[in-house]
Amino acid sequence: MTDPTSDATFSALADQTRRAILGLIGEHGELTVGEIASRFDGVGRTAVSSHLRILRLAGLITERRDGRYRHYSLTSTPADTVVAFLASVYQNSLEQLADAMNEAVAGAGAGSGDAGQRDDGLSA
Amino acid sequence: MAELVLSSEVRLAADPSELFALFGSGDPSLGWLFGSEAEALAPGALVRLALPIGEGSRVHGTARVMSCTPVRRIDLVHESPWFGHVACHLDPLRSGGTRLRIRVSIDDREFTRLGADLGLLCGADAEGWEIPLGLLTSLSGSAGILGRSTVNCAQLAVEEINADGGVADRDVRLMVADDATDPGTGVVAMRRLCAVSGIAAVVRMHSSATYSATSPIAVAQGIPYLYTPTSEAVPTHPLLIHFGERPLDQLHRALPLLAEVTGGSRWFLAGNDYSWPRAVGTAARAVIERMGGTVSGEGYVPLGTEDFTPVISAIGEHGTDHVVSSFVGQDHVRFESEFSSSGLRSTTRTFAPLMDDAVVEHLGDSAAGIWNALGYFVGMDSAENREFLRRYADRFGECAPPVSAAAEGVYEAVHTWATACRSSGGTDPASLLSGLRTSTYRGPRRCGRGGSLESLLLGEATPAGVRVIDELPVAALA
Repeated sequence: MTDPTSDATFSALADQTRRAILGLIGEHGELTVGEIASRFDGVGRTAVSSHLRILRLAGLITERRDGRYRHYSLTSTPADTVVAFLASVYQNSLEQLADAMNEAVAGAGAGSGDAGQRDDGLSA
Repeated sequence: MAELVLSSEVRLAADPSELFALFGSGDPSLGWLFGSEAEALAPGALVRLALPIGEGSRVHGTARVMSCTPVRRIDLVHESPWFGHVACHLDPLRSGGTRLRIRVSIDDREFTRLGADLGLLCGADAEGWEIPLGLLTSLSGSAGILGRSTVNCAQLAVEEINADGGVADRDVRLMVADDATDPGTGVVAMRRLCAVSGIAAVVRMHSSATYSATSPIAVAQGIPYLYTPTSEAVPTHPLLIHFGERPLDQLHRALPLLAEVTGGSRWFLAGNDYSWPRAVGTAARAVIERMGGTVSGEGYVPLGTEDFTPVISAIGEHGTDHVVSSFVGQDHVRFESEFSSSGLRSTTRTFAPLMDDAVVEHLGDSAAGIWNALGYFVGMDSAENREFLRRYADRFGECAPPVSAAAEGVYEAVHTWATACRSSGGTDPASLLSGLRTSTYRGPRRCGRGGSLESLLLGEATPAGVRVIDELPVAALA
């Protein structure tokens, strides 16, 4: 296989169906073309094969042959890392906000002496 | 254009109105998104961000409000350190509290640019029918908060050139890289741009610290280097082409005029600690001594300084009538803001060689009265400038970051490059250099052949932007 280019990697990731296929493979670890096609409405086996080829050439998935079956699994790729990086920046920010708000509530609760009531409120 | 979409959400005990009120509050942990600070929620309003990237540190960034439905939804354009759209939904929960959902979309070019700048992807290549033109600028680090309008201006110039038939029958494609306001990162980004097959030139809008590290790469690779910001560096090779203002041009007429206004003679020289602010200090000292003034003190602090109290105290203790303030980007904004809060603004006048409309937008009232002399201010009264501003607004809309002098300089450099290449019929270095000697691009700035500046505008910061108060010839022509 030739070295994947960033354009190939991004074009591969830029298509909604291919992102869904990646998500599916990620969820199951390893899948065949037939197993993937069976999980999509309106996307035929040929189209799935074509998406898988693009993903494989971009270096995002690898292929293992077992008799007449081909099994696909994820490879860790730089573009994955970019996506994971961006996702984590936004997700971390929301989680930090949640932590800060919980601390603010806990602080106010401790100060006013009704921490028990507030704990009940939060767990509801 | 294809785009990447990311979704995140969190459930919070606060009700939507409570959470809505915290947006942009400036509180580092509760002021979501990213400890943001927003003075207004009107379309186009600036939102300052502090992104939690890296161990215990925060990266400054900017966004702008696109639209806002109070208590339910806020849509933002994320400008720096990367470009994208962020939709924030506040959904009330039946049990009380709020589900805060954010949906981020980033287009493929920006994703590739970011991936490359993160060192993860190898960067895009131009197609065979395109001429790649590099732009090395600062989208993160101290100068990053002013970077988006620079990219916009370069993109606008490229689109205008392509609409007008391109260059040598080919379209121009802009390739953007971020130096993170850091010379080491700048070297990596520059090497990547130089590796783009057939790259015609690299336009640079970054600090002179990065310039010292990256200009030898341009020379070694034989790639023309079009340097646009105000700079002390003297070009040492024909491929190093400078368009920006030189410190002496900025200071030699303006400082005596400022002293006439105040009647004072004492000057304090302050700035970040690297080659450009030091060169401004040297030029200022020469001008001050020539007019019989005195330098009461000097103070230089590293880029990325968070607390300017020591240098502001030194200014107060030494006693001065004027400050020459050579800070960059976020440092500039923070210094001027703290200086204003200290009360010293009412007893001193400041000349700041990087003050432009973008800096004034960040500073608001605390910039009032600062002077500078540059080739361009948004308030410049000319038909070319009105046309340029109209095109910028038409292309990027009301939520775009306002144009700055630094950004407009890049617009002119890209057009000057294309004009020179067209006049000599090629984009190779020899054709470019010969075209620059004979052709003139007529943009907003007052430039002669090859983009050489003929005069500067003297501007004063007001809460509504920079007011142009005079036009000054450059030193060589004075």
